[in-house]
Amino acid sequence: MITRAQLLYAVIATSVLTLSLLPALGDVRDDGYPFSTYPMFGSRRKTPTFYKAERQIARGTWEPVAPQRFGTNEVMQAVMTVQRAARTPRSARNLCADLLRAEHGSDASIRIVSVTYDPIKYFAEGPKPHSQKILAQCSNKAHPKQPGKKGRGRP
Amino acid sequence: MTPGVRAIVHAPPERLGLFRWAVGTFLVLYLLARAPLDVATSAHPTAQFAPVGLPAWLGLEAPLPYALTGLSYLLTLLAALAFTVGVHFNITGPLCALGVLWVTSYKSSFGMVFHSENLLTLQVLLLACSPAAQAVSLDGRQGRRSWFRSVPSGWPLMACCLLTILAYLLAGIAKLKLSGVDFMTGEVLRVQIAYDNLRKIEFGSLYAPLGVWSLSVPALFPVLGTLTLIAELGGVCALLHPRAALAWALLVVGFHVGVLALMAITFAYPLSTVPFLCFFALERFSLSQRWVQAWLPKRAPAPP
Repeated sequence: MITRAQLLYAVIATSVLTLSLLPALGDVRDDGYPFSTYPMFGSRRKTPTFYKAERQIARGTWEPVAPQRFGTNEVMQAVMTVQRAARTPRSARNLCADLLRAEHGSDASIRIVSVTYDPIKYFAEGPKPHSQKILAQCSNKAHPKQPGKKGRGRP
Repeated sequence: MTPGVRAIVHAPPERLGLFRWAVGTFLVLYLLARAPLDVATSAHPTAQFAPVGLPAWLGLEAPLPYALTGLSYLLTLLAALAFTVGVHFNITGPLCALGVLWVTSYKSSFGMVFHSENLLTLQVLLLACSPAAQAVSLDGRQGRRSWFRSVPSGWPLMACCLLTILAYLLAGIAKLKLSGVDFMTGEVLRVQIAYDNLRKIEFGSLYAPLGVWSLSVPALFPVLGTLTLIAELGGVCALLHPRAALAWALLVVGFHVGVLALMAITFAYPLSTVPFLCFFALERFSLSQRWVQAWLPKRAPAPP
């Protein structure tokens, strides 16, 4: 005869397993936690667009903003933060302003950029982007550049 | 019933207790190692907050204050210690599961879901509401009885095995849905490795030089793509026989070693091999036997 504890455990375990299986029935991009579709590494990517935040280190020279500036050591979390912010001009400007506030220098410049690469050619032929667009740019300097112009810095 | 299933469902309480120890020990070390980073997630701006899991279910709309995040982390760590040694498990087990669900959900609520933590969180949940502290535990030594003592020890172990198989099966299904059988030709994987390393380089972060080198050997990728799908979709074979389980576990751990080498992505829990231990008769290893003996209830010495 089955006891109440056995019945309860059977319900708990069956529920967890069923909920774990359910994401497979829906859209694979509709990811969640802790019940996930596990969509990582599966997508086709021909010339994907990358979003990144850069800070100016010298005239015309830009370097990536370190993940720590986003409050994380996880590079992928920083990548996702920029990607989400790039969805609208306003959120891109907000992220730019947030990152600028974290800069201690009085003449710091930050920009949020979208770049399109062919990942295979990037390593075979060098980092030449298909296209590049500045989504937001902000500066502590007296005359900051206006967003929307082509970047002259490193791709 | 296959020999593999029989070996799991007829497991003695000691095996379940040893598995609880292994999962708990990993959990404690993982929480300790990640504490500074995970607590720091509260420093993210509110605009980045996109709750998933428990914070979403509770309707949380903004990040918690730093102190509250730290406190919840500390309580989870204490509960994880109690979970590991199996003390007052009726209470500390579910508390630990809830804490881990909270901590990992919260961390994934800032735009990126950490897929490396789903399996750990759900295995802890399946163990927390089970008789996992009936043996090899302080509760066992001190004679405290589990509310779930009538549940056979094999049930939670089988549930953990099925969960592990399911996690990889879903990852395999996702690849087939997104790329079809073309994934086996290797080109999808090759571009993915290039893409992943590229964005790390562009973000000024650590990347995988071996992954970059591998791009110049296209013949490698059909093999890697096929092995990946076999590892992810073939988990159900692990239930046929304990040897099949060993082969599958080695294949999946090898897959994660490959991910680490080619993309510099660490899936710490599978790399530790802990999630796969539920498939095996842990109590048969001599080290485990000594460990079990040390945690058995102390008996009064026989009168002379």
